[in-house]
Amino acid sequence: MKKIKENFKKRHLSEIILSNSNKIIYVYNDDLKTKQTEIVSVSLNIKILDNWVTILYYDNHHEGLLHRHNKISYDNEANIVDNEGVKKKGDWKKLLHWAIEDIKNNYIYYKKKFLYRNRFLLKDIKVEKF
Amino acid sequence: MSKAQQFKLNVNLSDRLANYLITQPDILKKYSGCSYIVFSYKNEELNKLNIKLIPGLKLEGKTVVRAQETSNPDNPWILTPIYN
Repeated sequence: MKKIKENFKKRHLSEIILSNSNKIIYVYNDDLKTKQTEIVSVSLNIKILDNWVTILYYDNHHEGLLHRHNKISYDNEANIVDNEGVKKKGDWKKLLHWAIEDIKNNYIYYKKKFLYRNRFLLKDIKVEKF
Repeated sequence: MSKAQQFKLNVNLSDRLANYLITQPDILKKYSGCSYIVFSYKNEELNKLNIKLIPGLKLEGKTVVRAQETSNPDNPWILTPIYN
């Protein structure tokens, strides 16, 4: 685990390898001034060609609700945000754990939907389905 | 409505928007990099939850686009950027 001191924030970054072509990256900040922790992101990253592409991530920036961002298109950073079905109650550790477990349990489903949606954009690119 | 039902509905709504936008490259280009928030034409309960996300996204500095579902299959979404 890396720790980067940034102003009054200490950043923690970790990776969970799900398979050769799928991984979770999670980042959270400790605010040394307010003693609060915020989830910067818990993301699902898939390998396309030699690049890791984030297709979904959770965050709860600015003490907001934990919510999910879904990447729409392979060639555009636009995303759809929703929070239904997302855990809302609990401290940051519980929310972080929930987001990690959600991606672990559902990453094939999330990936499948993304690849199907982008099947024409990715038609000449080999991507591992699982 | 149970939480599981709400989740399924919202995922379906988000998926419907994503599947629509992927066929509209001009719109995706126009709102490149934006965050879309979905609003159902029939589910106010869901809309109340989703509207709560807007202030946080604005604070993150994101450009937010309101995606309002319609009952018109020829024009299924009304997209409105939120500037303030």
